[in-house]
Amino acid sequence: MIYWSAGIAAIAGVLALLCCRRGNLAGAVGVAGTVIAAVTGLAGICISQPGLSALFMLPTLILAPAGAFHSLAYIKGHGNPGIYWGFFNLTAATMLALPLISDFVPFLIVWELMGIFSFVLVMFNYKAEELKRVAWIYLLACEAGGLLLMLFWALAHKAEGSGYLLVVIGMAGFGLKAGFPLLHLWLPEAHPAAPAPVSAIMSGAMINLGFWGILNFVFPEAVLLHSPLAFFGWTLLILGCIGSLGGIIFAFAQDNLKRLLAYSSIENMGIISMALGSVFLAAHSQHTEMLIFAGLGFVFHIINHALLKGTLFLGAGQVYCSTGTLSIDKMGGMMKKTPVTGSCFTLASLGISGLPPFNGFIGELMIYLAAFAGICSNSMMLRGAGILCALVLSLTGACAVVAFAKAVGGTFLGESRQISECGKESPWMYVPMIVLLTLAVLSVFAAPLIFGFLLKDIAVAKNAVEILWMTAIFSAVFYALCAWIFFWRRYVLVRGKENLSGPTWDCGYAKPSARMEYTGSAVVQALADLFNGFLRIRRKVEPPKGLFPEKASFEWEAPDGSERFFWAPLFKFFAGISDRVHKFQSGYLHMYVLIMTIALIAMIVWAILC
Amino acid sequence: MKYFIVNALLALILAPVLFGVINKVKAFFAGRKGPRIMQTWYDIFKLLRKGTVYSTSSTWIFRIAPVGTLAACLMALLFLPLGYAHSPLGFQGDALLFLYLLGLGRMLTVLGALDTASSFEGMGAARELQFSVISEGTLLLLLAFLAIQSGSCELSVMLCGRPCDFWGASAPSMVLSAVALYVVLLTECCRVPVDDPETHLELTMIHEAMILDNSGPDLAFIHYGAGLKLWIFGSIFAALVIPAGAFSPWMGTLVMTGICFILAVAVGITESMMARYRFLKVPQMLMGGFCIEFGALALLLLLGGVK
Repeated sequence: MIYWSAGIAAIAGVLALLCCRRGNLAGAVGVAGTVIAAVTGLAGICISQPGLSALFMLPTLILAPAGAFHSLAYIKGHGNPGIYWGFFNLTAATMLALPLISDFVPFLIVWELMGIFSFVLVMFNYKAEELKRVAWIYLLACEAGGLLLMLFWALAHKAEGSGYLLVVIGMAGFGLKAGFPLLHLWLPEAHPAAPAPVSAIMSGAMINLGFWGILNFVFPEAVLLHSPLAFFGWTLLILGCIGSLGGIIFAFAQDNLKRLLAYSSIENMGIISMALGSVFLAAHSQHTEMLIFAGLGFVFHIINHALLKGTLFLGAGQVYCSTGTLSIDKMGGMMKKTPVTGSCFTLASLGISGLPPFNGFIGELMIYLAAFAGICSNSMMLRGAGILCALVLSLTGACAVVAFAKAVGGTFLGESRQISECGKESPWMYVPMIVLLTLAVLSVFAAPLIFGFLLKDIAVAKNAVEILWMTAIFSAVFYALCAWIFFWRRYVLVRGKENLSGPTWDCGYAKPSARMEYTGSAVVQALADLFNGFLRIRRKVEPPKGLFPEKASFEWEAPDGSERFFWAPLFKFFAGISDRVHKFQSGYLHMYVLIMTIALIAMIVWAILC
Repeated sequence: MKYFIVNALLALILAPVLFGVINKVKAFFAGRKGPRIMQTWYDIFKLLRKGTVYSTSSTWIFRIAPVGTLAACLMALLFLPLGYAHSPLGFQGDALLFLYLLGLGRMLTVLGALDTASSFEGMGAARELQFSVISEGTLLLLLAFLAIQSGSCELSVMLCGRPCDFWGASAPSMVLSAVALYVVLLTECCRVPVDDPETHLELTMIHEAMILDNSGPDLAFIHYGAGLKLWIFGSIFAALVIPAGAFSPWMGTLVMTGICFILAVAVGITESMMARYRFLKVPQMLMGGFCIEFGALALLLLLGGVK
């Protein structure tokens, strides 16, 4: 039954492609396809209990229907709906199929298909000029990943094991999808360009699959290594630390809302990678408590990230549809124009910053507990890993607060800066957000029930389930306390008093305007300066000149560091080599014949000599 | 349980009085008489009796922010071993919950400030966010330090369950930790030299700048929450430097309350003796605190004193 969910999505995709002339029909087929696939998939998971596969299928099963409903309003008036719905369903089908495939060659084929199908989705708005660059980067990233995986497979089948090189190649291949540091380049490019529901699915569900690949294919190949668990643990932990901290620092420096969210995905993949690294390290030292906590943290964070990032990307889509821009500094005051979207986005932001009483906190709590179990252990290695993990996690958490305070504050709060016209929000767009957010809020209370049931036979996990219960109780108490203070103020304290409303008090200034408001960039400027050694912000300043200055301007942006300082120089270097080799391509046939003759003679001589 | 309830009530009543003590000390140094020691309580009662003024720019965030912040402070306080009595709410990992509750309060205050569209409140929010990143890292290192000393990550055990001779076992790292915690306390409670709550210029404030637009009961909640925060850090400081188990329960109450008030006096003296740093200097001080705590942790791991 579980296989049928992928099949249904695929069939729906093909059907939608077939009726690409009739937009409404394609839309109906597409939405129906994802919904039926999701129901079948969820039922299949309940019946056949496929274990870890279920974890990687769940985000797709939840996000695909949500994204499909959102798309109904989002793609109206853009491009060819048949193409969109066809590839939307096909992408969902490949994503559902991947966790169910256990052989590498079919896996690789579906993996490549997923890249190509999603490429079409990213390119959906292909007439936009800036998409050319994005398309190149995304296609390059997908194909480079595919090539690395082929190389990985070829090396794995060589007679003698190639050891570390093999594992590193496999990790790089899957890491390209999972947004590991340096390999993350395509994320902040593709997400802002893709339609919002596609970003939601790619960010919440697709990039997780990189971890599935690492667990399922790279790890079994590593058994020949000297101590594969420790090697895996440290690699994932350190990559995760760099990814999470670097990702979130770049996130808060972005002005484009979806770019900010894309960097936040890199951060969250980093946190997931840290959890997985802690799992391997704990397994290496046979520290059961840490293993359980880290494993639970890994599971929770994947689900939480899918729910919350889905909500956030869908919210960004609504904002884009209403205003036509994604620049945080131009917006402001969107809460009054799109109240439901704004509220959902705000709550999801609190969640993804890892704050209690929302679900993002449980995932981080479990990873912290794993780290503290390491800190409290006797092994110096686990202690170091624990301190590193906990410290990076807390700095990441603090920076996530900054990034999302900026995203919410700059976009939704205050007064509108440069948005004159603003479209209304559409229920097709906000209902999926409300559903995702409700799932996210309720998952705090569902977690102890579900995991109490799943882990009931494992004695060592009892402690973890107890902690889940305690956090659930805490969350309930916290909500109750907030509600009590709120209603006490509303119905007792201020009742019958003079309750006024007026303009914001701006310290005596007579005519405050929205232009004087702190922008999102201004809010993070102080912190961005602190991290400027890492961010390398590009500034363009035109200072006021003369006694009666007329014009002054200030711009800043934080372009991706890996691109500026690693990939661009690297590609330039290879372009230089290619230019030199280019001389051989003279265009004269006799030159080519001469070169081939020389090569042949050289090979014959080589064959004789050896 | 009985002791904890008494201690919690004591904390809830006495927390705003700490501001009175600080102001009395500052007045003493300035040669003034100063406001009454219960002044914050009078202010709170006055504000609770008033109506509210909400900005037309603001949304529901601004109305929920003071409520959520106060709730976060209250819950954070209740996870602490007040008066050296184990918190009945405690569970393994509540130290992280405590840390993140402070973060939640901060995020809500910042969002509330940004919601008013005021340039001054935005300025305060920007500074608060910048400083919080470093002070949160320092606090986490302190938690790791306590976890190593106690072998647990339940806040009550971390603070009160350590072996009594930890001063003898690891005196240098204890001193460093206490210094780092004092820096965090000054930052988190918005005191000089990080923030000056009593200037007349909104440009130079952080926390007070963020709450310029709050009024009536909301402002009362914020003032009370600030008092609770001071008590929170005071009790952590007390439990960090004085070992539990050396005295009877009621004695513990006395010691912790006493240390909270001594700290208030110390804060008052600090404020009288130095001016607020320039905002560019503050991150340097905070980084100093971070490095000191890191040093404390390294010393603890290298020199021993580990359970």
